[in-house]
Amino acid sequence: MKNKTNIYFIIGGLIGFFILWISESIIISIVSEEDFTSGMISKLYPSFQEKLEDIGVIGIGAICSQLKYRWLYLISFFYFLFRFQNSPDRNSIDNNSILWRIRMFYVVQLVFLPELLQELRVRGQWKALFQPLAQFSFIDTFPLEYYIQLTGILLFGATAILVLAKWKEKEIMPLLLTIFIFLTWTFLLSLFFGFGKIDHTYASLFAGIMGMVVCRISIFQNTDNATQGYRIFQAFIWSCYFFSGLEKISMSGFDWFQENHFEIICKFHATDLCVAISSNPISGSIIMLAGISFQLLSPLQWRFPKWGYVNVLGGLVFHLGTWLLFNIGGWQSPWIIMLIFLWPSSKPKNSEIIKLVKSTKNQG
Amino acid sequence: MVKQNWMIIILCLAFGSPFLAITDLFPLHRFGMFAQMPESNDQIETYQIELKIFGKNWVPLKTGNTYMDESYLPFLAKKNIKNPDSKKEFGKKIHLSLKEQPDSIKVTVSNGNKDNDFILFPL
Repeated sequence: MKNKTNIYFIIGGLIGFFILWISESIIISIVSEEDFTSGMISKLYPSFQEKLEDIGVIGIGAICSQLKYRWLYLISFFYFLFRFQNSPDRNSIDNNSILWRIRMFYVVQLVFLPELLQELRVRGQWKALFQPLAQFSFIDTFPLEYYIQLTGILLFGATAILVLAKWKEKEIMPLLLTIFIFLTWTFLLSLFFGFGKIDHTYASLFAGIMGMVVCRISIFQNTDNATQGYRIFQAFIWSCYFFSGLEKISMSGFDWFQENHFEIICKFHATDLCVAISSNPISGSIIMLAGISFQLLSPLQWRFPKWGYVNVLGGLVFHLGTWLLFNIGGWQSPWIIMLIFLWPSSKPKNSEIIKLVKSTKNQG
Repeated sequence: MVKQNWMIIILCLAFGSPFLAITDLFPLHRFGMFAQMPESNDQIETYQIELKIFGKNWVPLKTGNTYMDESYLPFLAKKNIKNPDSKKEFGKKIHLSLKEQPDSIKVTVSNGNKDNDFILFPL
């Protein structure tokens, strides 16, 4: 059975690779045509024109040639998750602990929601610059402030219910509220991103919100799935690191490891500490290597849940490092607080359970 | 534990589709950052929007939001000053967005050695 699955993945991977390889030249020839803007590309990919202006046809060709490799990365990742989806039971987390962690996740949302609403209020003044994302083109103008406030109040209420109310794993209401929360955050973030520039402040928080829907559906189906559901929620969080690492490697290749790379980034985000470190190229290279290694190794938490310790500590150093070195982000970033959900939990050890059972029997 | 492949498929779709479509999810890591990186400080350009209100001196535009001031508006300035039509449109939009409407708006592009001014409003 396992061999059969391996063969399916290999065949799927190769077919995708060759299809993308063959279509490379077709895509480049379409791009090279003068009047492509009225065609299908601009409808499917609205930022294409901008990208073409930035990097030209040759750059687009180079990006197209990446597609086949990206497909291979992706299918390998899929295989890794599929192959190691059931870790041994000794690594399972008890349901009560999971429910508390889920509650804590809703508390985190309550903490950051006012900040997002405040950001939207500022952007409201600049509504003339609003350009909806292609997927949300039905929102043609930036909504009036009180609509956003009303949405915020509803979202706050739904989240607060999930923090405070007594609910059990199998109830439908928490699941429906979780879906509502996901849709509402999607709406608010679509407004937030509708100003021509993607902002990553809430990326891992939103990934967690998405993962929570999957987690809750899984628990709703069967409470025995709680650990697996929670692991997928964690996977949504560490995937943010993994895919940004993969993107760095795909886009920059070995340039990432060049000696002067740290120095170049320092020029854009100069701080005293950064300038001091960049005077020694080896320290800079070590920092860049450590950063990308942490990101690319984060999926190990799927196979070895205890890798969560590395992810949490690595993530903390990563975010505090980018803040102190490049003045990007800050200690209060949602990314940092989201790391707590990657912290592995251990079930009470067998010896402790035996002690507990014995003491209960004695009392009886 | 029960195997739940659908969860893995959703995860792969959520992260894999933007990765495969090479969207702008990671704008700083776009080609320019590495392939056309400036070699010296002189080649790094900064964009600052400045206003003149009631005929007084030029003052930098401050929205009270760090992201808007340091990242978003300079990004838009860089994007829009190349093309005369979009420059005009951008100037109008800024003028429309400000409570205290300025007499003139300009973008100052500095590259270490010299400053270049691009008037956005009035045009």
